[in-house]
Amino acid sequence: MRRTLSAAAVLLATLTASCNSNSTTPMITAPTTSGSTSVFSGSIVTGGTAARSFDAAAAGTATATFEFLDQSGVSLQLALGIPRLSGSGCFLSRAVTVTAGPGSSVSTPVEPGTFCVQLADTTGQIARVAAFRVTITAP
Amino acid sequence: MSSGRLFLLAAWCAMSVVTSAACTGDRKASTTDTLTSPSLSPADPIVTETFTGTLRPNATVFYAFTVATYGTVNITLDEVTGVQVSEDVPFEFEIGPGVPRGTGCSPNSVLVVAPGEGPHSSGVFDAGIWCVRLRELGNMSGPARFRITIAHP
Amino acid sequence: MMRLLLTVTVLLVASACNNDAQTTATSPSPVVQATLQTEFYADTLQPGDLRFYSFSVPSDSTASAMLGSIVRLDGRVDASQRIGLGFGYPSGTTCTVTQWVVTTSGLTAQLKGWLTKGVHCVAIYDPGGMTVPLNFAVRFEHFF
Repeated sequence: MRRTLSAAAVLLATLTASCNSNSTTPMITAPTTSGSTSVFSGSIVTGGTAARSFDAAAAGTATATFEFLDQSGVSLQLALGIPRLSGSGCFLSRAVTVTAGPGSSVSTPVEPGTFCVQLADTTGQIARVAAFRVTITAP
Repeated sequence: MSSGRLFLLAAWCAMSVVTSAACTGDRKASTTDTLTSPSLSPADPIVTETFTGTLRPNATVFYAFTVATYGTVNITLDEVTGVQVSEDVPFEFEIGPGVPRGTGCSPNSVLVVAPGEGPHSSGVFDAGIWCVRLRELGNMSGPARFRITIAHP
Repeated sequence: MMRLLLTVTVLLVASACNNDAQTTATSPSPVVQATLQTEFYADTLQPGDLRFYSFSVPSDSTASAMLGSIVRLDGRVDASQRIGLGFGYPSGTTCTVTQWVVTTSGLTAQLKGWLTKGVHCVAIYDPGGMTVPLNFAVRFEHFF
């Protein structure tokens, strides 16, 4: 009788396991992200633009800060948007006209994906060429 | 073997068969359902749509239409009027059925036809959204009015 | 006692299997290998106009659209202009919009929809109130 009960228990365990195999849900743990900061530096010419793409790993706020330009008294357009397919610049979503320095930034909510930042001398204030630095923070 | 043990063995066998069938039976039925494709005869056209407009030299225009059920679609370029074409070039246009894609119509095939009695294009289409594209081949000197009829199920 | 045990175990196992069978039976749609595709549509919208872009989805699925940019023809970003953004189906020479939102530009999807298998379109239109032409850019995602 004990053997019979043991066999029954084994068979029950086997059948239950095989039937439940399709209903097993794997545990998926979402990765935690803390955002990223990158530096976009280069040079910009009179009436020119400089653009670079960046990635957001999660939903949140992206911010571009115009930190430095090696010419004083020059206001440039700083903008966030989505990259053009051709790779030349951005489709602009949010833009401000600022001089380099603390607080000279543009921010907007973003979803996970690829976006871009663009600096443009829309009024032709730069004398020939100027070096710049923009810091980008993305979620 | 005692009669009690014989009963137990028979019961477990029966249970195995029942549970095995329960585990796999629906899946087999589902697979069979999705793989079965009934053979249909194409339905005849019962709806006629007319597409009119202005066609410019070297330009394309398109028109989207919905086929309700698997069936025959006939497309006719009825007329192109109001334009002068020199006698040494053919009065012909490219016409093709296809699928709306991007900002236009991506034709599955194209024909070069002269406006007039048709159908110029006839085919069997699945139910869904389709389109016809008309292209001017560079023979016209100015814009012209056109009319296309599309007959479909 | 033994018969009771057997009856209980049979019911337990059959019950577990039936749950699984019901799940399978409620999924009659064929499995389609679909991948998420990102597309862009950029153009100029005139006052009172509708512009659209057609695409196909292989099975019933979700889709999203982001009106990422609205810029005046003089290059000025217009972040306050409200524009119609919708999903629909190509019909004649237009897109018949079935799901829509009127929104300003932004970098998060303003429209999320459910599309059935077949041909669809994403439309950008003047909901009323536009006075000048605007350049726009839409990034949208759908299964392909």
